[in-house]
Formats: sequence, structure tokens, C-alpha cells
Amino acid sequence: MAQDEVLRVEGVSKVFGGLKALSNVSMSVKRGEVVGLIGPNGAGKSTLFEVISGNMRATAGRIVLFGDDVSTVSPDRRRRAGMSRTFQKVRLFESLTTQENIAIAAMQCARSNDDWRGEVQSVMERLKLTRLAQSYPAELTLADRKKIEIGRAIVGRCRLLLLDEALSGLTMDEADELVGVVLSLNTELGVTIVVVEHVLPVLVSMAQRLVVLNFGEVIADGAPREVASNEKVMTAYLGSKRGAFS
Amino acid sequence: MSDTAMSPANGVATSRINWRLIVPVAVIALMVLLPFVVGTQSYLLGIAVRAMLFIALGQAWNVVAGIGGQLSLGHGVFFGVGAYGTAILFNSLGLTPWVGGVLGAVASIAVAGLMGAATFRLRGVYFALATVAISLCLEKLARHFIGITGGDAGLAVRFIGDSLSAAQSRSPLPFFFASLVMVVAYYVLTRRLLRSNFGYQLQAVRDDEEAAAASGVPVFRTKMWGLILSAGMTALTGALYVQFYLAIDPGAAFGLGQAIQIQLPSLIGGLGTAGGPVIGGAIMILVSEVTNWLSARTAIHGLDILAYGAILLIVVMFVPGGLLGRTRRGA
Amino acid sequence: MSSTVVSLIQALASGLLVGGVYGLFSIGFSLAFGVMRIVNFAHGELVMLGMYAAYSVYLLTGADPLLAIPIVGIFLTVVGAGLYLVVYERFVGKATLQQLLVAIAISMVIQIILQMIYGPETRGVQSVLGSQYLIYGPFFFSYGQIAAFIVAVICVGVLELLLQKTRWGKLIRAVADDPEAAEIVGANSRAINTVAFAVSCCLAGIAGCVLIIYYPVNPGTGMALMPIALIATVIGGLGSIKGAFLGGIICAIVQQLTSTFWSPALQDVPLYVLLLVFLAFFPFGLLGRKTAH
Repeated sequence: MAQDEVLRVEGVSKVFGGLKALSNVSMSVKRGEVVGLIGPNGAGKSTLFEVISGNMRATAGRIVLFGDDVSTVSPDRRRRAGMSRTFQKVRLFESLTTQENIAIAAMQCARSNDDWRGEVQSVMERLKLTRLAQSYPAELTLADRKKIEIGRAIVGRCRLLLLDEALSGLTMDEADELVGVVLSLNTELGVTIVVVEHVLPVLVSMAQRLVVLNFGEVIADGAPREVASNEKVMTAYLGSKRGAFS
Repeated sequence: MSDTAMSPANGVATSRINWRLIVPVAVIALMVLLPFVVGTQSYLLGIAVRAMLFIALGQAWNVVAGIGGQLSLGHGVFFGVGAYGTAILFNSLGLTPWVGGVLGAVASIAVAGLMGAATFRLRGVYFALATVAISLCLEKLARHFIGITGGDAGLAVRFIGDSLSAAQSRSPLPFFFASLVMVVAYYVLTRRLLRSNFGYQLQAVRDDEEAAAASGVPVFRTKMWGLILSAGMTALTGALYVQFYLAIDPGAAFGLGQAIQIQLPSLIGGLGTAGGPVIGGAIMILVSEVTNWLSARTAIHGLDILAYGAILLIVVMFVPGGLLGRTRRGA
Repeated sequence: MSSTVVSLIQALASGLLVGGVYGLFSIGFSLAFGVMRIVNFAHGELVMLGMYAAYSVYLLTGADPLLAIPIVGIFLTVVGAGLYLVVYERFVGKATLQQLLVAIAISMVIQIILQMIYGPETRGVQSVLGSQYLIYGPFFFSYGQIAAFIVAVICVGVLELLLQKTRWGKLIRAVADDPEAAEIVGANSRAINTVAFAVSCCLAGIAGCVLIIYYPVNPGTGMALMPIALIATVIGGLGSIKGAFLGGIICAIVQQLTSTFWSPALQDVPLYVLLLVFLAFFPFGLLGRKTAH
């Protein structure tokens, strides 16, 4: 097994009742990569996301995280091992402040000598949340709420960050800012990132590699430009052979 | 890890008066002086004990339900196990309530462990329904096994007169101070809990279980310890209750009415806050004294329950966070 | 036939007869949950309100409770619609805690008001049916229970027909199945919820009329009936109509068997155990629809 592989999905299937949501999906993410996971609605992106983060158990197959098989490990332990996630619809602790939201995760994941308080402050600075430290999530804009969620995800030795539609609902400017923040996490902190996203053009510029799911199967895996011109992908997305990203 | 405080005033110098410290200290000081003002045998002391027992139960429930968001309707179980356990051990084995109360709490914690294991996979309403089922089931059993519990009539603690080892007294004074110590201890515990890692874990689970897990909070374990802490506190209060009243019956222990009364102080005062159950409990006792007086005057029974119901309805509809709560939540 | 077999058959048959009525009011409880996700802790009190209403009609006119069904049914329908619009509506889709507490508060208020009006004593009616028995070999059945069962079956049949055939019925089923989809189709949730809640209360009222024939009422009756509705509904599958009816029959049979072969005082204990088992292992009940989450 390659040393620099942070996540490996091995032949994962997930069946709901009679419906096969994932069918023998395999993929691998290397340290430092930014990988985009795309596919039309109902392609199985969300299901795969839940299986990787541990909220759902796969019907078959394995999830290997940082070299360990975590297929039966609970989501909170996967988080403490260094994999964190955001949610499609932002989920914050609504009765707690911005600072507390981020600090909770930092406390859970800190080792005994870690300065988690300092880390919370620096993450808030990085995300420009410091002046909102004592605000409650309900008072904030969607963009700020998303930033809190990302802040909560990256504290505490996060090495692999799964982003679930982090850009949906944002204005162009807000989205641009967030993309910048996310990419800086990758370049400056060395966090490996997997993004599930609908907004394809953004992904093409953001990700180094795209994995395309359709009907629960991986139909393409490669560099963004290659994938974008892949015939299967175009058919899956538009039902026609016009460019998928135009 | 109790001092992980991230107080809002962190790093900000405040010259304002610290009401969060002054008010509780002043209230405690006034309570300590109460017996010297009203007299050590006063009827008022009895009411104060009743109020503080009520408050202590509310504080105990608040830990798992208010802070942890696990809406237990089954706290009568822990209360009943604590109260019956203490009484039965004393009556049949002559065991001092000082030990009996602790054993009752231990038994109650064991029950909480079983209950948690059986019900924590269930969320929200399903959890509430499961806990109410356990409570009602124990009520039926307590009514049936007369040999152990005294059946419908309940159990009277053998009264042996003033005795420290039997924790019995003709005067309400010792109970006044015992219950005051209990309420203050629970209050301090709740305040520290709210600022501790465990308290934050509970609050995270209350707000959003999946987000809590995604932040590294062990959800099941958090709920379990929350229930266990709450059950232990409830059982100790039950032990004190049975020493004060010298009697316990299935309805008072396991009935739905009891399960609801346990919730009222926190709901009225403010769910998940340290001061909420104290204020709410005090209000409840005032209301119950007034309605009891009215009932006696008008010969209409059940005014207290009607008032509780009406207050509950008004609070839930118009002040969903309780008096001290941030009304934004759940509104 | 050995006496054990006789007792067994008697218990099963009585359970079936009583269970029909349990099923009738459990359906109301299940309907409120299915359509609005309301766990109506006050449902037992509403059945009790129906019982007292039928009792009052009997006191005033001497009419048999069975004849009071239309008027009590309408009365409870109106009460239900009012309760929904004034109180319950604002809790639909809100946190469970608030919704549950509001229902508990309502149940306390109804119970105490009825106690103030009628006093704490147990009250029953002298129905022509209640005191007569059908005797068949070693078996005997109260005509009251038989009549109650027949009424229950008719009501359930009519309800099922209404839900299957009428526009409102179809809308109610659509909302129960998938509130979001129903919203998209353009079903007006407010009107549908009001109708569904009113029907739920109407069923409670009808059940009250038939229960009072053989089951005297006191202010504690509601608290005793609510757990049955709850358990029947969980066994059948929260939100399932047929399931609730089936669950009611199962509850009554379990009660009869326990009281015949163990002790009448403990007839509810196995029900609670059953409830826990279902909640823990089969949270969707026998006929409930599994949802993805």
C-alpha cells in the first residue's frame, strides 16, 4: 500500500431495500490532492459521502483511511483520526457561539499537549471569523455559517477534509472567497480535500482530479479536462454530446 | 477536564458588576438566614424543603434533558428506585439511609445504563416514548408486588424519632439545610458542567447529533454518561425525599404525573441553564401553595394540576426557552 | 375441552372484541402522527371526553350511548379542529420536546376540567346492551362488547373507504406518505392537517361512545387509555392506519391473556415490554413504511 494514500474506497456497494445506490465503487485519494466528486442527481455522491464519513455502513467493500480499515469505525472516531466533513445543508450547534462551535471539535481531537485554544483563535483568524466569535449561528449569513462549519472541520489535526456542496447557495463573490480559503488550506496546511459539487466549472478550476459517478458506479476518473471531454460523462450529464461544462 | 471555560468575556476587560456571581450568592445567603427569620419550626420551612426537593429533581433532569437534549419522560424510575431503595433497605435490614441512599443511587445508575443501552439508538420522540413505557411499567409492578413495595398504599419508613444515623428528625430544620446543600451543589455542578468538555459534548449532541459525531464527539457515550449523572442525582434526591416525607407510593415514584412535574422547573425557568430549574421550581411551589389554599377554600380539587397544565401550555407556546433561556432557540 | 383451552379461547375472543375499540381510537392517534408527526399525548383524554359526552347525553335524554354517536362524533370533530388551529398547528414540524409537552399540558387541562365538572367518582351508563350476555357453550360475551366491536369495524371500514376513494382521503394519505411531495402537488397542508386532526378526534369520540357501554369512566381513564393507543400504534407502525387497528387488537388480546393466566393487575406489563421491544428492534412496526432515514 502506498504510503501517501490517505483514503481508499474498495469495491463499496450500498443497497437500500432493493435499490442499489452504490455499485462496486473504488477510488483512491493521495496526500495533498484536491479531488472533485461529481455526478448527476441520484448518482450516489451523497451515499458515498455518508459511507466514507461513517454515517452509513457499506453493504459490501472496505473504507481504508490513513492505511487503516475503518469500515466499522464510528464517525466520531474517524473524525478524531483526522478525517472531517461538512454537510450539504450547513449543520451547526445553534445554541452555541461561533467560537464554541469550533472549539468543541478542537477539544475532542486535541492530544494532551496541544494548544487547542490557540488553534481555535488562529483558525478563526484564517477564516475571518474573529469578530463573529461571540455571535450565534442564527444571526449570521450563509457564507459565514459555511465558514464556521469549515473551521469546525479543520481544527484538531484534520488531514482529510470532505466538503459536501460547500458552494451551493452562495453569491459569486462569496463562492470565490470560499474557494480561495479552501485552496489555501490545501496549499498552506497540506490538507487533502475531496469536494462534492454541482457547480462544475468551479470544480474544473479547483480540483486536480475528478471522479464521476453515475447510477452508483464510477464512470470516469482523471484530470478535469480529460474527464470533461469524456463521452460517457457528457451523456450522463446532459443526455447529449454537447460539452458538459459549457 | 472541568476548566475549559470559553467565557464570552474572554480577553475582554469588563468593569460591569458580575451579576452571575452576586445573585446566586445573595440568594444562598438569604436562604441560610431563613430559619432564623421565620423560626426553626415554621411551616414555611416545610414549604422551603418541598420547593428545594422539587428544584433538585428539576436540576437533575436538566442535565440530560436540558443540556443533553434527551427528553426523558422516565425520570420517575430513578427517583422511585432511590426513594424505594432507601426505604426498603432501612425498613427490612435497618441499613442507615446514608448508605441506603448511595446504594439507591448506584442501583439507579445501573438501571440508567440498561435504559440507555435499550433506548439511545432511538431519537427524539421514540426515546421519550420508550422512557415513559419503562416508567409506567414499573408503576404497575410496584402496585402489584405488595410484599416489597406496599402496593397502592405505598411504603412508610419506620419512624424511630430524632436520629442522625437514621437521618430522621421531627423538625424540618435538618432537611432544610440538607436540601439547601443539595440544591447549591447541583447548581454549582451544572454551572461547571456547562463550561466543561463533557457539557459541551452534551450540548453538541442536543443541537445536532450528526454534526456532533462529525466533530469527534462520541455521541452514544455522551448520552449514556449524561443519563447516568442525571439518574444518580435524581436518586439521591429521591432518598432525601423519602427521609423527609417518610413515605413513598407508586404514583409519586413512577407515575406520569411525577415524570411531568420533574420537567416543569427547567421548562419554566429555562432548559439547559443552571439557574432555570431554581427559578422555575420556586415559581411552581408558589403556584402550588396558592392553588392549594384556593382548593381548600373552594373545595375544588385539582386546581394545582390545572395551573401546572396552563403554565406549561403558556410557557411552551409563548416562552419556549423558559424565563432564562434564549428564546431564539426552538422559537 | 379442558378448562385451560376454554380460558384461552375465551381470552382470545374477548381480546378480539375489546381490541376492535382499541383499534378504533388508536387509528386516530396514528392518523395524527402519520399526517402531522404529532404524538398526541392528549388522545386518551379525548376518548375520555367522548365517554363523558356520551354519558351526559345519556343523563339528559336517557338515550343509549350508541345513539349518541353522531352528536358526540360531531362534538369531538369540532373540538379537534379547534384544538388543532389554536394550539397544535404552531408545533407541527417543530422540535419534539415542545410538541410533546403541549400535548401533555392539554391532557392535564382536559382531565382536570372534566374532574371539576363530573367529580372524581367512576360513572357508567345503564345500556340495554351492557348488562346482557351472549352465552355459547362455556363461552360468554357481553352484548355491549359485541356491539362496540361491530361499530368499530364499520367505522374503520368507512374510514378506509374515505381514505381510498375521496379526494380529501387521497390528499391525507399523500401528506402522510410524503409531506414534501404533497406540498409540491399543491395539497394545502393547513386544511388537510385540520381535517386529519378533526377526524382523529372524531374517532376518539366514537370510541368513547362505544366504550362507555361497558367501561365506566373516571378522570383517570384517559391516562389509562393513552398508553394503549401509543402501544397499538407503535406495534402497528407509527402512522399506519391498518397497523394501528391490528395493534389495538393485539394489545387487547395480550391484556386478556395476561389477566386470565397471570394477574388482571399486571395486564398492562407485557404491553410495555412489547412497546420497548418494538421501539428497539422494529421501530417501523408491523405495517409501518420504512423511510430512508
